[in-house]
Amino acid sequence: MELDDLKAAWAQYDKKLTENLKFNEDLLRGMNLEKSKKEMNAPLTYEIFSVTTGAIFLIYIISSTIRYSSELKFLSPGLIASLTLIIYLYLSFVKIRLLSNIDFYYSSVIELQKSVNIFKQKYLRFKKYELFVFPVFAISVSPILLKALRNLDLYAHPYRYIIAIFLSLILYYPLAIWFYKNLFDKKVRNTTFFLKELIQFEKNE
Amino acid sequence: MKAKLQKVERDKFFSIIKNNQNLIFKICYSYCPNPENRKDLQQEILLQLWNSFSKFDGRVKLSTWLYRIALNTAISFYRNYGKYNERKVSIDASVISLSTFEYVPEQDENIAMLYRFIENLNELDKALILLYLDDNKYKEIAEILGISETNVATKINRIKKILKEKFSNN
Repeated sequence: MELDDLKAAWAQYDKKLTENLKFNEDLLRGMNLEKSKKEMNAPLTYEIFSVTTGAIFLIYIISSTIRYSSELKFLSPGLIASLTLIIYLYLSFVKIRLLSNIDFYYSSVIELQKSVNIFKQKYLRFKKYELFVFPVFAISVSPILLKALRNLDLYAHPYRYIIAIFLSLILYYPLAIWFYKNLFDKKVRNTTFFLKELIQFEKNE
Repeated sequence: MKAKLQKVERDKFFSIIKNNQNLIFKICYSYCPNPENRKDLQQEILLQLWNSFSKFDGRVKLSTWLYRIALNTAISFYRNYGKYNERKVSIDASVISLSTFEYVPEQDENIAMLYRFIENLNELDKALILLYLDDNKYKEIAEILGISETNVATKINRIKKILKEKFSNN
């Protein structure tokens, strides 16, 4: 049997469906349709919130770093913390731009799947940066933040500070590597593979 | 006034869904062989259609818009079932279902065989073959999927060959 013969059978099947399908309007009316609209915008809202709070935090760190810039022990961690935060903000901007450019309503199937998967791929790769840079940020921001907020000098007890850094790094990185491998690595591979499939499908091969 | 407008919009949406329930049913059946998952996919498609309904301005044909949203949702659902499973707006029954047991697609030999064949295709070829079986022109299929007409023709021919081999083996 050829596909064209099956097409005729499919048309018959469509007729049978028309006769036998039941539409439960009451059930559809009972569904929380408005809630799903909000859920759809959630990722963009989250990224905008992250950028706003991140920007406020960055301003505070920069101003504190300037305030204590006469002392190198506060200037250098302040600069490192600011730099990591600036990169984080830049990545969030990239995510917002990608999300805002997705046309969920009028894109063709391939176009939308490509946009969504490019965003997903970037999102997962940026997560890697966030995960691995977090300790650098936390270690560098602590002295300047404690000084600015509580007037505490973390360097007054250098051994305690070094031991705290050492312990947190020893505990954090194996955990972060495990976390990324088990939660994100496979997703990155799947997304990259699907993107390749989409590009191949788009080509006349 | 706002409530009245909302009611009019909802009624219009319900009528569109009712008139195109066959299309939604067939997409769900093709992407989800499991009846439980099928119910979830159907719910997801209806929610996505509702989400984009207010943005529908007739720029494309209604069927093109419906196919795009439904197929995109089905492809994403097929790829990330776990995530959708976590949604809290779950319902117990299906909005679109077969009214009685008078007609069971699985008992229709050709249709059952076709669904088995579709089940083995990847998510993109599934969309292509469904559009072809629903008697859409190559131009429409190209517009819905976002590929060229010649590409549609090449892919359909390739699937036809595979199908012929499969059916002759059976």
